[in-house]
Amino acid sequence: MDFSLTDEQSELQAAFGRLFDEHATIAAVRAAEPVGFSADLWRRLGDLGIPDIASGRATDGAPATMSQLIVIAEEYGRRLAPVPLLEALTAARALDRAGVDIPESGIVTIALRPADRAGSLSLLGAGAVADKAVALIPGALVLTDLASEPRFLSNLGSSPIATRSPGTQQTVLMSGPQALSAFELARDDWKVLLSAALVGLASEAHRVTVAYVKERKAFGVPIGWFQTVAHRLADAVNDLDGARFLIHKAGWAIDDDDEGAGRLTSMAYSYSTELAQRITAECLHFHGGIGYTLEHDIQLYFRRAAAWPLALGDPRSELATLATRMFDVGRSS
Amino acid sequence: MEFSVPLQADEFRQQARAFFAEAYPEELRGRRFERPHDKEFFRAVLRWQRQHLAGRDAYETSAFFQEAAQAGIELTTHAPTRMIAETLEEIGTDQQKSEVAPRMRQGDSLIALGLTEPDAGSDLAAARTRAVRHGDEWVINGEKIYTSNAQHATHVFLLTRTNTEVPKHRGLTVFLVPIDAPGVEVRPLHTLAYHHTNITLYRDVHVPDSARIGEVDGGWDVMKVALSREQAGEGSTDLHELVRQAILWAEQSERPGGGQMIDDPIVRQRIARAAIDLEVATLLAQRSAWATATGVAKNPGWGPGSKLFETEAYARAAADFFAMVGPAAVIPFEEEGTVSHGWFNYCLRDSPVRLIGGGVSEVMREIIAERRLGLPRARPK
Repeated sequence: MDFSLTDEQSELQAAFGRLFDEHATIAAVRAAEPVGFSADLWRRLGDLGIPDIASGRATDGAPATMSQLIVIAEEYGRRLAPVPLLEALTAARALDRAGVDIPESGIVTIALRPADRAGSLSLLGAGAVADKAVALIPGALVLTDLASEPRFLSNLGSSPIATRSPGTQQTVLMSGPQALSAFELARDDWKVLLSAALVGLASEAHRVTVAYVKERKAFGVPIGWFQTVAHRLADAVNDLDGARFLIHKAGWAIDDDDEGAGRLTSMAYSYSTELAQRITAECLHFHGGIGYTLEHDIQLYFRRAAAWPLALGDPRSELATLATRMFDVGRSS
Repeated sequence: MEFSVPLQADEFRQQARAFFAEAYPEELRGRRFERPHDKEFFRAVLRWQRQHLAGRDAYETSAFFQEAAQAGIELTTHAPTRMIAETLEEIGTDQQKSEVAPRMRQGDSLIALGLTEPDAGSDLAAARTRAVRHGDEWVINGEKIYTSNAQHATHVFLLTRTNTEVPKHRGLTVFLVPIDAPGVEVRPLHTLAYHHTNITLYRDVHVPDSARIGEVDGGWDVMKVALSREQAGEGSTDLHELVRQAILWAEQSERPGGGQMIDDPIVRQRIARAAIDLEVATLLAQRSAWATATGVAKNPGWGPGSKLFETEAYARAAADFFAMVGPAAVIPFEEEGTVSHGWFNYCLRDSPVRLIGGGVSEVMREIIAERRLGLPRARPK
């Protein structure tokens, strides 16, 4: 048992933290809106090995573990970095499991929901900037090119989403019943990474807010003196610790092929999505009127905490998935 | 981060489980609310501990306490006894180290904590129970509340006021008072949770100066040492047992219209939600055990955060499951027609006690806000 970061995790945290601190400043995040994509930052991440780092084939059999990618995802979330990092890492892992190389150029994303009846990948995450996607089509999980022209859709999270159609150049990653389980594994990877990103995002909103309530005065005292403010911020920091451990435990279980990996993933995702939304809403609230103006930065966190999980769908439905994983696995009926 | 349980802790857990299975008859298990307080039994537990628990690390220690709780045993007399024995071993006089502490370790002395007073509540340092020096003796007068397990204890660890001329934290002194000393009276105070705590009264109680722990007027320093021993990974497993009971209930109860209650989408999601809280509570408690075992400096917010999260989650689940299992939840354990041996009834009654005892939630949040977040102190000094 060890609740501290490993040396490798600390190194990754420092390296990516530094990059995001320099190049995913709030000004850069705002400049990248509304599309939510910075080509410059994406190129710099490429220099740090994104997304190859997640592929065994691209790293001579020594890919970053899930436990390591979690640390990168938390830094990414902390800085609201305008790049399709989680999608690209998730796709890289899915390709690697299927023994397929990451395409040499272009961005590969992941369609978190299966193709719809018309065959489209609706509101595809990173769809506005991606060249290819890992997608579940009837009968198979494929790596596909994207045919239709991307039409960016303005959205709450300022993410580069667009509805796209699979093209004709497809590589089958898995077919038959195994396609579905390969798809579930990819979604679980994304859930864990998004949970980490949300914890990073909520931690930063919390940090900004704690500093604010120490400075801002009302009725002659800092507003952090009022217990209704202080106690909710105390709950938040405690709950964030819990979320971080839950996410790391899920990552550890995934790396270990532990049978509890799915259950822990659902727990981490369910808990983190709800928590990030609550904390960012509270943090905005503690800023008072200035908090709901667009000129203030706190709304950037509030919007993304609500929007990011919707790439998959209603995050509350994860409780049903968790229940299935807790109660139905191994049941005869 | 890495989450495997050390192998030897797992082995020790099996050993403790076997001991409890033998020492505690099966028919009493799962009926913790009957709270059998058998002195012989507690002595056996302490003997076993002395032989097997000494020198164990924090993981093994917490495994022992988890197994105890799992077996339906509340070591409520034991925990303060260990806490005060450790305190004496650290700051006691030579005589206290060589004679008094070993008696506690052997289970011959059992300790109750006489800290809280009726008019002071969470503000322990506001104690008004007076101790006045007369030559080699001290004479004590006052009243304590929530002196839990005083009916089983041999001594009370008593926080008294010895100086009224200085700020409140600097005028306190601690004594170890024999429960059978003339002038000590124990009055039961029955609680919602089917057990009783006590009010203890002290009328001209004489104790020798050798009963004093720490310096005269240095009682708050003694308290700091003692309280630091309170959260040594004994994290209770109330929530664990509650979730387990809910799953058992849902698997065994028929669902109107067919199947079991575990097939009901609302029921299963309610249990799943509590299971997430349980996992988080466990991780927060394990962090403390890890920090203790490895000597990592603890953030002052960690222990209070663990206590806060676990008890709040327990209270949420207790209220939710009580309602979930339906009308028979109102029937207590000894009555015909109760559900799950009255477990949900008991937990509902017990949950307010947990939120208050051992540090009320609001004080836990105060500590986190002040000492971890650096927010201004809200309560007066």
